Amino acid sequence: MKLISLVLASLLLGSLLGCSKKSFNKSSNSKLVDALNSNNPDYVIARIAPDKASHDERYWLASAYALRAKVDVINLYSMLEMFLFNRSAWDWDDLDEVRDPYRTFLTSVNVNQTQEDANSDRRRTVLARSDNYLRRRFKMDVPLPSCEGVSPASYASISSTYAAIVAQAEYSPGDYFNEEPETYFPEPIFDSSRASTLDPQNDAWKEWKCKLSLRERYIDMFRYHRVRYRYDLYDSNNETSESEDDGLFSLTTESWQNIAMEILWKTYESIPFLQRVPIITQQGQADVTQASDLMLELIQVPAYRQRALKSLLYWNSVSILSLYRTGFDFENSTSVKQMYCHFDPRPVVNSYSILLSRVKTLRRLYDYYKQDRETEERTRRFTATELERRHKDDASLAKNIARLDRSLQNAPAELDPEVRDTELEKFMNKQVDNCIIQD
Amino acid sequence: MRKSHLIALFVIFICKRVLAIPVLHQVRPDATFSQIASFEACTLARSSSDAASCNPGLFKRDKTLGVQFSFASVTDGESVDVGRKLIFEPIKEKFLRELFDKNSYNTWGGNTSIDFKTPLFHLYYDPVTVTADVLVLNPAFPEVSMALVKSKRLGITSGYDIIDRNGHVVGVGVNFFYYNRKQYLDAFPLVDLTSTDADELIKFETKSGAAADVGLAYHNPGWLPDVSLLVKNLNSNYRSRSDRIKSERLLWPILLYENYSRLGIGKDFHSDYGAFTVELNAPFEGVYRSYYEDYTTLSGQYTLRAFDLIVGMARFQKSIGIKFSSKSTQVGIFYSQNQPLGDFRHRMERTAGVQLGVLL
Repeated sequence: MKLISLVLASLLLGSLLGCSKKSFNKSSNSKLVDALNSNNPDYVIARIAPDKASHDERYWLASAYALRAKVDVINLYSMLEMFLFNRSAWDWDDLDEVRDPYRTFLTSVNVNQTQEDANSDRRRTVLARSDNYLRRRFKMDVPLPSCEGVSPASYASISSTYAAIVAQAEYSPGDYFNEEPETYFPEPIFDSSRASTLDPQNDAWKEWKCKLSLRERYIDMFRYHRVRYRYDLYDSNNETSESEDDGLFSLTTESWQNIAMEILWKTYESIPFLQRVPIITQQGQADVTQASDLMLELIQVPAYRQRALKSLLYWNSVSILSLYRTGFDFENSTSVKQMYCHFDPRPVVNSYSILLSRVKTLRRLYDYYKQDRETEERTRRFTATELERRHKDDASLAKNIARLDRSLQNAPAELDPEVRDTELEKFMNKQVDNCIIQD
Repeated sequence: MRKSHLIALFVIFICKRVLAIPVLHQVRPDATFSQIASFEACTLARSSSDAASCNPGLFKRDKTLGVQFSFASVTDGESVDVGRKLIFEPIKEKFLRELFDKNSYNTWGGNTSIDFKTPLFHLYYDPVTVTADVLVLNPAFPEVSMALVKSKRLGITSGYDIIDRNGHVVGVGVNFFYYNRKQYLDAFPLVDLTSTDADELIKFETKSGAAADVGLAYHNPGWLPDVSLLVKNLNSNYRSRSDRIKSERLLWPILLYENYSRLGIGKDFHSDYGAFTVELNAPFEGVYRSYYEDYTTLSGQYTLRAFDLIVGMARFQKSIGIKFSSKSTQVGIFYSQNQPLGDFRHRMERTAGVQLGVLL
């Protein structure tokens, strides 16, 4: 028996001494995470050389630069509080009901609104009523027919062809005003080369029927935009006239004035939010640029793609908002007019190159977003309704992206100081004229 | 290929093998008071009323008979408070700051069990064991890493003393069980919660199958030490996609659901003043493959009739627990100091737990 004991004890000692040891050593990456969590970005920046860094290290380094720029969840607390943190995480998937501080603000604004604002509100109400009628009349909110038996690919192809014409008509209704809808939506011809008889079970027949039903609905949508154009039922949010828009920025041309008015109104509505956006210093903006450059490289790495896309969207948007708000004096803005009168465009225009870089980054994100959507459509099966909704969303976004592209195409890398000063002077003169006369 | 290239490739392979952050838990499926309070280093404690759960090789030493219901829960009060505030209350700035800096890791564990104990076998059903770990990281782009495991087991334990001569006893035993486990071991950006329902974001994968624990315990009456061998979770499926494991932002509970083994050395002796057991217990990866040096545990147990005192000590864990038993009830309370993430986070968590048992 003693032998057994000796054998087992030897086995124990042998195991402990002879077995390979396994331990989980904390790697340098864990220290980086700890440093970020304890708000010590300099530790991370000092320890990582970007040219020799692994993907993981690049990710942490980009995060450290963003943290040093103070574009982090703690510094953005007051901003995020409005939309997220004033409600428990349990309810975050239902955020539409969370904007209580925002509602409170709007209520107080409506009480103190000026005559000009009240007129504007009345016009909006009339427009909304007319628009509601037209939407019902032209079945704008009724889902498209699903075309049973037609493959999702064929359905998407048919639908996107018609949707593109409607999107163009919406974007530039004046160009589509003179001709009848049939000119743009020719009647589909049955493809007899694919089927000799009109057999309801035949694929060619199903596609033809599908084209007919979709065409009818898209013609309705087309008419909706024509009627809105005819009766000038556009409020400032949907002003789409591009007749004078050559893509060149000029604060004094009419089309840019319309856009500027729209932006001003949106800005006014967003004062409670914008007031909470932190001011990022010049060094901070340089850090955001570093962080963005590092993260843009990681987009190509599948394991980081989604995180890189989302963090870039988040950091660049905050950076743009921060630059934008520097021109306003929100404390003294109790009406749109006052806000406009107190707006100083110089800080914003002086940050032109940074703003341009941020907008270009966001534009690149759109391309990646589109790529991912297309890949998803190729690899995942969608129902006809889902595809319809996706294409509708895409068409609406594409319209704005096209406008942005035209502007970016003509945007110089740096503003010519002479042109900049002239435009600024024109704008500020106009601003003074408006404010003195109407105050 | 030249030799130096091969060596370089080998070195790269070794260096690249970064695992997820290992997480230690006290509560485990079908765990009894002795297992929880001693960090499972109770494989030689013959006088314990739950000896067979500690090591099936001690089955014949387990004298408890009848039907037993038990429940155990371990947590530090702070984790519960942080979890409640994080999920059910609006988030305040001070709380958010502390969440990253001080309370970035939170943990909770609990189990339940119904045991039907006979002299020939123990039949048990563990309807729910939950271990939950949450790590919040990177304030610049917040991510939440979670290890949520909910498991249930139905098992049978039996054992036999193959040698019982002149005080030398060699017992062997086996615990067969069917398990069903739902687990989420992944990380997601916090912003995803704003656009995606939590149920869609935290998708649990289900694993189920049959597995077994095999144990051996040797006791000798002389001065030489008692020895135990215990192989846990043979045939258990606890692997996941390697790319996930190889990410250091993920939490990975260990010595819990995967196949591992233990080697115990110690002494168990009885006196008029009660029974004493001292044990040094070393865990291994798989069936006695690599030895987990950091998780070697020293435990001591003192039993006097209805009273048990258990002390456990490892590099990252210290615990003391007392248990009172009557004919119908068992109440165990333990207090622990844990560093559940080991070297990955030096913060010591103070946890307290309770185990309640009703014997019919």
